[in-house]
Amino acid sequence: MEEHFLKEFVSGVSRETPKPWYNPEGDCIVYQMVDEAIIADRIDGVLTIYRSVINNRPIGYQIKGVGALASRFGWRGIRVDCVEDKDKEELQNISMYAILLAAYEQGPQTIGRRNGYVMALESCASHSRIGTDEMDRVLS
Amino acid sequence: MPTDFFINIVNPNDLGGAKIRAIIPYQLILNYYKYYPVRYENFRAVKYVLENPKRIFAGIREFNEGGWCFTGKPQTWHIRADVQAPFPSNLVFAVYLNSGYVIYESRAEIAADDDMLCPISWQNRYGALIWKSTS
Repeated sequence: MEEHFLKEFVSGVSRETPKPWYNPEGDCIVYQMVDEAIIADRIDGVLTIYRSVINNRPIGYQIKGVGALASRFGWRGIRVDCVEDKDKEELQNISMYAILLAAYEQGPQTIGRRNGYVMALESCASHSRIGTDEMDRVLS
Repeated sequence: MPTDFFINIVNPNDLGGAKIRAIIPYQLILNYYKYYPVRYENFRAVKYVLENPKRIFAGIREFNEGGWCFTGKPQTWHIRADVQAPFPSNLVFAVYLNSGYVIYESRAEIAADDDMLCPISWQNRYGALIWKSTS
């Protein structure tokens, strides 16, 4: 196979276990449990489920417009299950469940949306929190 | 010092004009490599689609201003890190850029019945189809 054109960019970098990641350029949170090629299953303007191209099972999600969600609800408003550093009295983690529930509240209560959000919530089980350090730009 | 990668693309703000530089941010390269080797491998498909787009859509987000979606059909892609396969005929590969021409997402989408080079439900998802390849 032809050498990857980005090879020099990742020289010496180690592989790691995936975790939810806030992408500031897309104002979105991305998480994929399984490393397989994905097909997007767009649930609504906020949530996209990632399905495996190999067997169509849901293997992750993308939550879009995170900044808009924060503006609407405020981080304190969607902080249902967070961890605080008692010494610093700062919010350290934000619950993915809370973000997804806030997103769900924004749209119509349809079966399709409900099923999509259930899939995303189930995907959160192993990584249900995202650190605020990942989200400095949207929190500021 | 880590740097971003740049690709010259059709300028979606000046479709007949000179090409413009799109950015694959270093952080995206790093995160895909660390967490999602398949996505890292499929940067090849990203590059191919940006250099050989078939459709360009504007207005990609409900809650964010601007941005574009470039779509195309690479010949092959990776379905697992060590497995390369032909790109399925019923899918289209989509690359999303924000208003600063920064790539932030890439993935396959189900192709629309009325135009196999558009993602399904494209009429309801995007602001406008602004460009079609003539080749």
